Amino acid sequence: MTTRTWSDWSCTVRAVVAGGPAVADGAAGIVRDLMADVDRAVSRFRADSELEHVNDVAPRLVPVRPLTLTLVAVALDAARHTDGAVDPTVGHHLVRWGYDADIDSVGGGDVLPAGARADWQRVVVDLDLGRVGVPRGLRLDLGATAKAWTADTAARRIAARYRCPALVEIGGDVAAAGTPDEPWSVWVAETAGGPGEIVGLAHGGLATSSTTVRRWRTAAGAAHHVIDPRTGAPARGAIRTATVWAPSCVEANTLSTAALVWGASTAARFEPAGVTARLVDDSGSARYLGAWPAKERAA
Amino acid sequence: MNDSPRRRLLRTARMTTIGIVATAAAGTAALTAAASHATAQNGVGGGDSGTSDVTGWSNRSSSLDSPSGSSPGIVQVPSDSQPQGGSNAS
Repeated sequence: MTTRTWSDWSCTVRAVVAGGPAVADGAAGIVRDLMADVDRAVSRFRADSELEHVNDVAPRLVPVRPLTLTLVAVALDAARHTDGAVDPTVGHHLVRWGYDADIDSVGGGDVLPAGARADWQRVVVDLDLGRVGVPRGLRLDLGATAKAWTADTAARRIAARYRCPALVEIGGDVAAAGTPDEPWSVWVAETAGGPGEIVGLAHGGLATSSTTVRRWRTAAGAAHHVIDPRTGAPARGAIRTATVWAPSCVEANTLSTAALVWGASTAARFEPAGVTARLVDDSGSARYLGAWPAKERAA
Repeated sequence: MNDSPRRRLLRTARMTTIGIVATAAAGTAALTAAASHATAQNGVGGGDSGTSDVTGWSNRSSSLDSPSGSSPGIVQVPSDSQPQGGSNAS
């Protein structure tokens, strides 16, 4: 196995391949190129991204590239499958709570008035003409899905290009592609380098969401990056950290984010669906659902 | 023919009005059809709120995306394994 690690999007990025240095360098290039494309398409922190243009000229329908169209469609799919718990139209709430720039430079300001309620069902995606429109007063934020989609897509591209198993990690969103001889060993924790446990990832994606990171101070108190679409405020559920395995990293991250919004009702939603998850409550106690490995468990 | 200039002017104005109305109606119908089609393509932009179908999503994806069929995606490994990646909030 060969690994390439670097920093981007304010997080650690890792490409691991079952191959030599040349393959690892090529794999890292695939990840870098895709991240650059996704950044140009949907970054909320770039005035020249297509997503920001869509947001700025709302409610006009704006022609966008297929990549942007795909990423918006993926975000709406996540909203649909979580009954709106993971809603991409919370962008204006993130802005009014102060998260309008890279996390390192956020904090200290007033919370602006609420404005329009998030409503993903009012977003229009015109696949025929390649256009996207968001209602006036709302702004799209694809933070819950774009990073995971990038990990999924990059891992698949690496596996296809080099015909070898690949693991891609972007800020804790992990995607595997190909069929490794042995499962990938992945450290699961609330925060990077923090206490946790090791699990084997045979295929699919693994994602962790938490209210303990990407936090900042506001005049109204502490805030974090996971917005509850129902209130327009940072989620205050009983789950502070959720790790989910799913067939893709997009699904895993969608469900781990939804868990923070759903809070105490998460287990009741996940268990009938057979979702595999590790949920950490406000006290730090971990609860395991579905097919999470039985041994080596630690909070 | 007693078609005075005034009558010709009125007739021209009437035909122009009919043309404008017809064009507007056709345009509205086309826009409505396009919007309906776009909505139908994506299932967004209107309609009821539906309910969460976490189950259906997981089942569908499991059957389509998993290279190993129904084999578990996450398994136990020795606790002293060297991590190759990390899943954590960031």
